[in-house]
Amino acid sequence: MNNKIKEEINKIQIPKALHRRSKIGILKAKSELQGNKKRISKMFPYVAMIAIFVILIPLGFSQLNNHLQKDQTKSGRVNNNKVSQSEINKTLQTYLKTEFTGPDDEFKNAMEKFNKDGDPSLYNEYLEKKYKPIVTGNVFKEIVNANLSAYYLSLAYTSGYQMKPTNILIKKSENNGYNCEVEVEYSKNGKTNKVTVKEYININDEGKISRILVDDDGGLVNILR
Amino acid sequence: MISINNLIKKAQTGNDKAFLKIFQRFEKDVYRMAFVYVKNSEDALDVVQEVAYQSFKKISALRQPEKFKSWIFSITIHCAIDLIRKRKNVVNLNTNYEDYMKQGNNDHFAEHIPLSITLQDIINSLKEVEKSVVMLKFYYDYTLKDIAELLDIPIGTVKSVLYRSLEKLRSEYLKGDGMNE
Repeated sequence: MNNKIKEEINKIQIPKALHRRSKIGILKAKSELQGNKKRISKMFPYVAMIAIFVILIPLGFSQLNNHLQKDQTKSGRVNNNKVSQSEINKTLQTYLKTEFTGPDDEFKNAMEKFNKDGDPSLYNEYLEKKYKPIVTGNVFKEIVNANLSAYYLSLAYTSGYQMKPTNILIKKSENNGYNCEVEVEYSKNGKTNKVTVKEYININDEGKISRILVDDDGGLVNILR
Repeated sequence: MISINNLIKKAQTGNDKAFLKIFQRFEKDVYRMAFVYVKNSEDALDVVQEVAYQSFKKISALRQPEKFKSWIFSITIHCAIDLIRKRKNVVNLNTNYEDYMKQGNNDHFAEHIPLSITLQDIINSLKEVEKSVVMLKFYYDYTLKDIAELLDIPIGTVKSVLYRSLEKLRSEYLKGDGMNE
């Protein structure tokens, strides 16, 4: 007698995407937990280095710094490698535009196939086409496994929003890190609004994105849900 | 087979694979519970993802691994209600238990559930707190005492909520075809 309720609740069908969504949530948490640890541990050597420069301050060091800066200005190269600052800026712009533009038809078709048939092939093709050329292998794995970069697009797809980046600001920080601010315009049913998303992105010596941290999404995830 | 306590200990050191193994055991329950609140598959999946995210982030704070299941369900209820709040854009959701506390002594109410109750009745006619109590009691087989602890409300209130919920479900049934049970 008492389990008509159980019977009825058991009628709720379990979608194929369930396990994938659990995994995405867990990997997103993992990515954030690891990012916090790495960011703190990365700072210590630089704090120590700054302390050394402050303590010593010999004329020789400042002359050396001037020499390096002149060299950089001449060639536009960073870290004595083949990547120019303008190439890095282009990579960052491409990444951020992809993250906050759409969802377009290609993305929607890929999502539909994934959700309806449980077939991720079109979705993975989309991610590979958009992100693989500009990120490292490890970051690409996170993009595929934790939905790192297509997260906002997935939410927008589900809730019927369209996004468009209207302004992108990139400021170089220490250790080939870049503070990026993206003004994202989001719209639905004829109504439009904006938020500013702040991300911290690292670039490796080959000019590829080696780490992505979303510092502050301006509440976008809650808006799109 | 590794016990759940061992998996939790591993998860607390940051082992996401261990956590996924535990979470997998409960993800269907989390989904179904979320569905009853949010009433559709996409939102329920969002809730599952959010529960997985929040629970792994906070797992190191779980002091009693044996309470993992209740802990997950508690997070599920909060995430589901949070989502509903955001959808409705309402600041205060009614969690006022005073109405239930005025019900009086409900120790002897009959736990008779109408035979023709449907999922729609549960989803549409019950308030969020009523859904919580009904699901925890009849789907997850929690005792009233455990429900009180999970929801952090007095046991008398749990009884009142349950009584009112069953009355509602009975009257939904009676409205439906006007016949006696």
